Amino acid sequence: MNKAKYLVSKPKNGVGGFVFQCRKIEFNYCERSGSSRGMIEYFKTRLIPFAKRNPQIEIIVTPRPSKHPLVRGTYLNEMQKDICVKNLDPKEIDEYVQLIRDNTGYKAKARFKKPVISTTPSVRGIWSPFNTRPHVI
Amino acid sequence: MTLSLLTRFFKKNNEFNKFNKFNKFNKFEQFSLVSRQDFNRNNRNYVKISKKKINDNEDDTISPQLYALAARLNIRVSHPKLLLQAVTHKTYDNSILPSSEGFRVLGNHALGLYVTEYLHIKYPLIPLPCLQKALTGYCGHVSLATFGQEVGLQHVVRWQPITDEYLYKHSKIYSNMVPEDKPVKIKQVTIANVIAESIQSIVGVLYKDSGPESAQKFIHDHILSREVKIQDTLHLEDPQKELFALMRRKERASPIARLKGESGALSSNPVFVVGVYSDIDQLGEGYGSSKRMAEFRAFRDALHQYYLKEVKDFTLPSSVNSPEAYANFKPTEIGDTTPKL
Repeated sequence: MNKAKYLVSKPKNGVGGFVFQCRKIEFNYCERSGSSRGMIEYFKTRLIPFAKRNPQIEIIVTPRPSKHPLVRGTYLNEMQKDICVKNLDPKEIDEYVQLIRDNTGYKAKARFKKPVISTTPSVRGIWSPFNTRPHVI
Repeated sequence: MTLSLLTRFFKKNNEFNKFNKFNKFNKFEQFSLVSRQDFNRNNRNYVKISKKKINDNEDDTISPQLYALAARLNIRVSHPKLLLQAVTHKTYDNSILPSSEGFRVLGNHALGLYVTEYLHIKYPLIPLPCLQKALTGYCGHVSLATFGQEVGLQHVVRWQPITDEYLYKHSKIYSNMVPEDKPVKIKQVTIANVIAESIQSIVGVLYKDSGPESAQKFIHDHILSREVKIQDTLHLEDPQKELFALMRRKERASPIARLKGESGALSSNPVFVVGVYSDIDQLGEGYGSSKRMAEFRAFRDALHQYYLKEVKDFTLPSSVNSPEAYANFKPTEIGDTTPKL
């Protein structure tokens, strides 16, 4: 029984419209270092088609000199997930970027323990004394 | 006589003002002609003059976050400046765009329309105060603000906290008509308020630009798809009394609670099942670890069964667009909405 002054609605992503959880992907690379070679090739060939296919994600590319290349995803719950893509091919970087795009901000480990999070009751129903079949001799 | 004295003081002070640099420390400070704005710490007026911007158009650029938001929420508008207008709050200074207040009012009413229509048809027998609570649960400021934050609106809205200049323009606080003794209430502007109002403006923009159907789709997709527990709207302190009144109004036999079954009455975990009957028909059922608890739950269940009855298949009147749909439209039965519980 909620006795609060205002009732607040709870989100149900996907029931009506689906809201994509990844809102920003930031790419960091170094102009001179060798580990960023794959990253630079990725920018030239695969990044722009990826950006066009995903208009809901804000994409930022900034140089970060003398550091390994980094892909950092920011989600709607303000969590971030980073992946270092040093010494990788553009194809492998594409897979990691796809991983970040498909993820939500929540930690992956927690979903193994509780795979289903729901506000609706269970499908077969929780046991109640109404629906029992008493034993008859 | 006193008035002439005051005017004499006034005249004297004027001459002093011309030559005396330190006006604030003047003995006749209470009669000085310095404006009230100068005495506040956050004086935006002075700050604005010092940081004068040459090209005001630079402020009305659309950020990439706004484009991303439009794609995320599936908002299709004819011109992206309309969205920028919707997302700019009235407190924002550096914008040439017209105000979003018109869109906000329109969107607020459209929200109210589509949500009320949906709730009223889905729960035909819901009492009026419960309907109003459910309505605020779906499209009130708090709910809209939480929805906006879950979607990323807080990075897109353009607003400013209330400043002296805003007050000077928009309220009577600095006019001579307000007496100094009376405190004037200023509605605080917070990011939550701004987000809620910007969602209303977005709905208004959709309604005006893309048509009412697109506004309805937006509301059904993002706002009505959210969950509000309808049982929480019906707050019952004495369900037995309410049920008796309901039965009397319906001209049916008064409700009687009967023990249907029990198990483990003398043990540590007893279960009693109580049913509430009006003549032969069972109105509600409840279980509990004591008879009183089970009876309470039974009466409450009876009221939930009646008042919060859900209709599963219905057609919304607003979805009737074409003449074929109008010909095939079967209106749902009108329920008996009580004004009070």
